[in-house]
Amino acid sequence: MEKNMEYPVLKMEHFCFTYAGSESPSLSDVTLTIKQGEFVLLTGKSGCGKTTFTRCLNGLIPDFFEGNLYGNCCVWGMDIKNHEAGDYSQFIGSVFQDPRSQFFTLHVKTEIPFTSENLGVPREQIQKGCQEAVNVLEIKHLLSKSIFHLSSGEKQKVAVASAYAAGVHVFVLDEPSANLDEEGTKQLFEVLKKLKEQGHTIIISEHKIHYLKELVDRIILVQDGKIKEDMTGKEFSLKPSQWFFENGLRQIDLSAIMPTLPYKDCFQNAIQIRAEDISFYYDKKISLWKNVSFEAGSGDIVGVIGKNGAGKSTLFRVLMGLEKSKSGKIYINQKYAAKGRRKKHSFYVMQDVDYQLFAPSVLEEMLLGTSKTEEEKKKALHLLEYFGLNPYVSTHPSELSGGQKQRLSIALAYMSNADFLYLDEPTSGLDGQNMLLVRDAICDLAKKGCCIFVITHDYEFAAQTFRSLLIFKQREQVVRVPPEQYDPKSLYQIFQINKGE
Amino acid sequence: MEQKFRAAKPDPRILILQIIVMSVLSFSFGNWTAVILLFVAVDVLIWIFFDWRTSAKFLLGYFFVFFLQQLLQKIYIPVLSFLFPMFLMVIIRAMPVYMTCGILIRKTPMNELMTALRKFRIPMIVLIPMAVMYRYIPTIRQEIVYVHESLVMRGLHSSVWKIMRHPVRSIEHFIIPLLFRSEKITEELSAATLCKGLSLERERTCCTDVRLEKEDFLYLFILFIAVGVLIYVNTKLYLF
Repeated sequence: MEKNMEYPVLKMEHFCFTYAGSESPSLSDVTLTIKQGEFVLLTGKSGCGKTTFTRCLNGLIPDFFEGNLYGNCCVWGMDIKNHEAGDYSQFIGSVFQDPRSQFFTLHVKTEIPFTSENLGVPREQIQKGCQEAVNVLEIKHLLSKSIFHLSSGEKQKVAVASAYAAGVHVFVLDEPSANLDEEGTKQLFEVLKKLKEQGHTIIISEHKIHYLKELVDRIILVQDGKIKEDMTGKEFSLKPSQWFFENGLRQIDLSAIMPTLPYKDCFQNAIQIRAEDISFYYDKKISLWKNVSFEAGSGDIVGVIGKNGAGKSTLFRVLMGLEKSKSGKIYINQKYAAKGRRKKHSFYVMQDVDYQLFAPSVLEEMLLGTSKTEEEKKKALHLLEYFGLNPYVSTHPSELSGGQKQRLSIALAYMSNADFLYLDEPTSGLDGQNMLLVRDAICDLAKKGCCIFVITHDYEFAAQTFRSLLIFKQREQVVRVPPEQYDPKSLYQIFQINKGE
Repeated sequence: MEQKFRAAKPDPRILILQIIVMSVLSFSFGNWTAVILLFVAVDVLIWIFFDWRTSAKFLLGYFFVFFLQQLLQKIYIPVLSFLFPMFLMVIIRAMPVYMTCGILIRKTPMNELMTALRKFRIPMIVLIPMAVMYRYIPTIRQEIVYVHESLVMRGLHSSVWKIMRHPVRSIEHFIIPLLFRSEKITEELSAATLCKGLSLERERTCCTDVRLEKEDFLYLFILFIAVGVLIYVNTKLYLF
């Protein structure tokens, strides 16, 4: 079907939607029109209803995500009550948050034509569409690759290419930058810029908003299922940073965030980890990193920074005792620590916390692996209260939000009395408010004497969290910036934040 | 450079036929010479379609199982000599089938497999779940590794002694996060797939021209000759 300028992309009139099994509505009394050609940003705190908007747009509501709906909602002139997701596929392309679960085939060259094939497009036309998508998005070099060998930024490019090849007019993106590093976010920005230049409608639901400020025409702030504010891109970029803070949002102007130390107290090195000339490689000819030596102790929050694939997670695995270094030694409190000893002293919070939660309730999760005495139970309840999780004591951990799960993991680290805590991207996909809560929890734990290592690409979080750095440079080199030499302002340069913006 | 849209060869239907033929032969042969020769033939295919390392690994594994099976028949160990050879026999017979399935998965992109099977009039309601499985298998391996590592880091990993003492708890600790992750991934995957237009009602097309060509018939011809030789060996030639 040709692009029909008659239809607005989305037209909602007094629209309400409540998910099956939920008591409160996710969208209530929403009246909204999105016209063709607009670049719209949907933002708001976690759980505010942004994702419900995107699910209405790609037809997953009410066909796939069932629930009660009232009022009218038409997407591309079609009432969502009478149509299923597939009916919109030729007009609306979707890009999801987790690149791992949005690809159906295993190779780039088969994923790009996948949508067109499903829509029954004739072969020659598919080939033409793919060729165009590959040229416009400049992904020719990725064609021979397996989906599993792409970086996260490349995966999002391929997801866009698949929709582009099908000739859609509207791109709906649900938190596409959640798993991206700076490089990936830059790539995503370039892709969105190109789509906008070509006149496509782009509707994007996001927490990280700084990279979109040059692109957005319109911003819709969603709060508790309602539209709180609907403004132009210009109005949005003029909002003071306090406004973002009050609405629980991430900041739009990263250069306005002044990097500082989280706290000034100095701690005696009650505990200490020391790596001496450790190296690691999967292939003997190419080291991931070589001759790395550093020390870190109580109260330190070490920011581990570097590009994706530099070997940051592998260093964590070695320090935690999941992997053996190929050379060098690691000492804990001046004594040589083999894998087993390192494991005993460490606690790991993965980026995807779902893998780490095993018990049927939050309280039981806290008591798992302990002897479950009254004293331990009291400690667990106290910690849950401290982290604001006491209303969820008997809730199943999987029902918690992303921020709550991260806080639960940090509470688990408290509970385990681990000396060293390793966090891998703890704030990806979190809104401003939850990011601050997680940051506070990390700082509290460090103040109590724990030594914390954090991998992050999130400048907003890094700016006021780190006390020292471990920087992965090119050519197998890892540079340690100890607390006494750490200047928070160096983060401007490391994260390539332009102060003059 | 233009992007090439060429269907993978041999055609998926030939590779499926190959799996069926190899299954029938492998489980019906009574002559050990033919059984081993069949394995060697499939291992040569593995060498061609994969690499010599994979082929060598299969070869070593196969002969290890084969000799163990023969050994257990010669030396009598109570219970083991009764149960184990049966189990090993199944492995010996199933290995060529597993290898030919590996060739299909390696050589055929999913879109071409679906198109080829649609030509066999297999309904979409069978094809879609099959395609989901095809997609999910490589993911689940990674998931298992992650869950295992989390258990190790929480000190909840199961040593053999722990599993024997608390079998239910050990399984629970492993299965619960795996199930939750699987549920999340399959839900996201299904949603993404619906948005990409996969449907029971709509007829799919394919970006490459999936059809039987000269080289497919040549492959089929060689396959038939190989089958003929194997059947001949099975009936006439006894080396063991």
